[in-house]
Amino acid sequence: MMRDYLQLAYGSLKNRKVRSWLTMVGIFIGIAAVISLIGLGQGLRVAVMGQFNFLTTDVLTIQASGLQNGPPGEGVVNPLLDSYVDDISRIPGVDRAIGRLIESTQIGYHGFQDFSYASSVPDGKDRKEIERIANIELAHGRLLKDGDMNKVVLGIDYLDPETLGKPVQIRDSVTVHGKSFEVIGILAKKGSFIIDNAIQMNEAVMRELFNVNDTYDVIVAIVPNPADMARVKVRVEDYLRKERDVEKGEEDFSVESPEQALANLDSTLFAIQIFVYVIAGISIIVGGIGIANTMYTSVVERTKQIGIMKAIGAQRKMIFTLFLLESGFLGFVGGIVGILFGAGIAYGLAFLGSTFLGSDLIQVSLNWFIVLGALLFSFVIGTVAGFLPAVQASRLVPVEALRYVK
Amino acid sequence: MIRADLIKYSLNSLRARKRRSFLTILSVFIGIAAITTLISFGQGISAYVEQISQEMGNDKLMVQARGFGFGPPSLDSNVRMDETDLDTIRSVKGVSEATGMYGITGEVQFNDQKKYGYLFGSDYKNYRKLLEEVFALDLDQGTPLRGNEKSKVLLGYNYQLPEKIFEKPIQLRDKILINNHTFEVAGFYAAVGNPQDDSNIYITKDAMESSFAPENYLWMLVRAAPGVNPTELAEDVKDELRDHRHQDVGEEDFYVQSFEQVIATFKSILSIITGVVILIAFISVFVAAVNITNTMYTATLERTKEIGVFKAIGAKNSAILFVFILEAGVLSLIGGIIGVILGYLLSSVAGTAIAASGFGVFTPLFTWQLVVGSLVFAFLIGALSGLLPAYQASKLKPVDALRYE
Repeated sequence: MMRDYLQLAYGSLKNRKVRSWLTMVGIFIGIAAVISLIGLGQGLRVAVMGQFNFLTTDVLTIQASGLQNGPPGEGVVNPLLDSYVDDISRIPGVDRAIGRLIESTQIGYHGFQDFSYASSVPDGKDRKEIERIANIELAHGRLLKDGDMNKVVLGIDYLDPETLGKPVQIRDSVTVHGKSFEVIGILAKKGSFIIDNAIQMNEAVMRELFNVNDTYDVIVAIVPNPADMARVKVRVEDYLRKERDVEKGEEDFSVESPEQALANLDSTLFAIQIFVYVIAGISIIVGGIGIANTMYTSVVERTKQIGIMKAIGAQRKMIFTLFLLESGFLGFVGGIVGILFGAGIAYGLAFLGSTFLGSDLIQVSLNWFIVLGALLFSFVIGTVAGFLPAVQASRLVPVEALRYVK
Repeated sequence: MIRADLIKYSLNSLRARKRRSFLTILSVFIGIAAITTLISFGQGISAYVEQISQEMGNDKLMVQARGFGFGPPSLDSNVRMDETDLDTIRSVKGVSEATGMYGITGEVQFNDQKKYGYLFGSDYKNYRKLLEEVFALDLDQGTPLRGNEKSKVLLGYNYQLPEKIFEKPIQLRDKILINNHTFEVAGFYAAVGNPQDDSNIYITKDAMESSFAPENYLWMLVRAAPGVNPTELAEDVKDELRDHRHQDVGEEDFYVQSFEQVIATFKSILSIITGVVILIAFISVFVAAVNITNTMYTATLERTKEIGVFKAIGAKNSAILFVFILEAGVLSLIGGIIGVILGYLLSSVAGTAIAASGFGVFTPLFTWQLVVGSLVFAFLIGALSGLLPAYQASKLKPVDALRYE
C-alpha cells in the first residue's frame, strides 16, 4: 500500500519536473544556509571555549569585582588580601587555597616587543597543585622551583618567530617589565592563549617586580569532593562577606566554579548564534511557502484525477496521505541536497580560513544530531506546508471534481 | 493592443489566482521585511557614529598606553605615562593643545548599593572643551565643573534613571561615596547611548589627585592645530614620544591614533558586520525569487492556450513578454510594499525595546532612500525572476500553443 503511495507521489512530482525542482531549490537554499552557519557557529564556539576549558573542575575561583576588561584582578577597587588564603584553606570542604598574581606586562627579546601578562607560581607544595589545576606540562627545559630568581617559564607561542622576531631559546634572556630574566622552560601547547602566551615566575620575584605587597588577583580553592562544591561556595561567600564587611546582594567579589564562568561566556556566544540562525531560518520558511504554493497548484491541476480516484473508491485518508507524502518528499529531498551543500560550504570556508588566514577560530563542528535534525526539520516543513492543500484535495466532492474544467 | 490593456490583463490574471498570488507575495514580503529592518538598524548605527564623529570633530588624537586588556580603556596596563610625556606631546609642531586624563575603576555607593563604573579625572579648568568634545558630552542638568572642585562629581546619564544603575535615581546635590570618598553630585551628562559610557563618572584632576593618587594617565588627548592633518600629526607625535621614552621603532609601549583613524576603523568593522547579516537575510529574498519563477512558470503553463489565442489574433512576442514580466514584477512589488510597512513596524517596536534597555545606539533609521530602494529592488527581483518563464511564453508557436492540452 505504502509503496503505491510512494510511487504515485514520485510519479506526479516527476511529471512536473521544473516545478518540483524549483520548489526543492527553495528549500535547499535555506537548509544549506542554516547548516553551514550552524557548522561554522558551533565551530567558533568550540574554538573559543577551548581557550578556557583546560581548567580542572574541582576548584572555586575567587575574584574581587570591578570592571572586567582584562585579566583577573584588573580594574578592581578592593583587591583580595593575602590573609584570605589561609582563612579560606581552613574552611571545611576546602583542601587547599592558593593565591596568584596576574599582571599585564611587556616582554622584550633582541629589540622585539610583545604584550602579554605575567602570572605567579607559588612556592612549596602549592606549586605542584597549581601545575595540576592549570594543567601545566613542559615542552622544553624545566619548570620553576623554589628559590628561582630572575628565571621565567614561557608559553609555546614564544617559539613562534611571529611573537618576538625569532624563537626564544632555553637559557636566552628576555626582559619582562624592564628587568632581565633567564628562560628555563617552555610549556607544552594547550591551544589556549592563557597557557600558550604565559610568562610564569615565582611569586616572590613577581611581587618585587611589580611592587605588589599583600594582595592577590585570584584565589583558587580546591574542593576535592564535587558534591561539596555548592556548600563550600556558600561558606566561602559567607566568609568573604564578613571579612569585607558587605551585605548579602552587595558582594564586591565573585566565587565561581569553572562551569559557571564558562556558562556565562557560552550564553553570550549562543545568543549571537541564535540571532544569525533566526535570520537564516527565514529563508526556510520562505521555502516552505513555496512548497505550499506548489501543492495548491498541484491540487487544482489534478482536480479531475482526484475525482476519478474517489469515484473508483479512494478514501479521503488516501488522498490526504498522497498529497502529504508529495510535499514531505519535496522538503526531504531539498533537505538532503541542502545539508550536503551546506556542509560543503562550511568545510570549504573553514579550509580557506585556515589556509589563508591561519585562523583556528574558523572551524566546523557538525554532528549527526544536527544533520538528522535538519533532515527531520525539512521533512516537517514540507508536510506542514502541504497540510492545508492535502486537506483541500481530500475534501473534494467526486462529482464536482470530475466536472471540473481548467 | 495598447499598454493599458496589457496592464489590466496582467492584474486580472493575478486576481484570478488569488491564493497563489497571495502565497507568492507572502514569501516576498517576509524577506523584504527582514532586510529593511536590518538595514534600518545599520543606517541608524552609522548615523549615530557620524553624529558622534561630528561632535568630536576630526582634529583630535588620542595617546594611550599599551596593555594586554581587551579593548580600551586598558586599566590593566603597567606602562606609565606622566607629565613629561605630556610636555613632549605639547612641544610637537602642529599640536594646538594636549591634556592628560586619569582613569581608574570607580566603586559608587549610594543607598547601601555598590556599582562599578569608570572614574575619570580631567583638567576641567583648562581643557574642558577638549574633553567634552572627545567624549561627546553635553551637560543634561546641573552645573558644570570649573576645575577646582575637590568633592563634586558629574555623572553619566544612567545614574539619574530609576532601576537602571541604582534602584533609586540619584538626584542633584545627592551625596554619594566613590571609592569611600564622599562626593556631591553637581550634574548629569546627557545620554551617549550605550550603557558603559552612560555609567561613567567624571571628577576634576585635583579631586582625582588628592583623593585617589593615581599613578599615571590613562589617556592623553590632543587637538591638532587648524589646517594640520591629524593622521599625519599622529605619526609625528609617535616619533617624538618614542624618542622621549628611549624606544626603538616597533618597540613602542603606547598607541597614538587620530579620531579619523578610529572612526574609519570602526565604520569598516560596522559595515562588514551589517553586510554579513544583510547577506544572510538576502538568502530569503533569493528563495522568494525562486518561488516567483515557479509561480510564473506555472502561470505560463496554465495559460498556454490563452497565449496561443493572443498570438493567433496578432499579439507580438514583446507583448506576451511584457505581460508576464509585469505580472511577476507586480507580485513582487506588492510583496515589497507590505514588506517595507512590516519592516518599519518591526524596527520601530524592536528599536523602542532596545532603547529601553539602554542601547540608544541601536535606533533604526528609516530614510526615503531605503523605502524607495526596497520597492525598486522588490520589483526588479520579481521582474528578473519572471524573465525566463516570460521569455519561454513569448517564444511559443501559436499553433503548438493552441493545440496544448
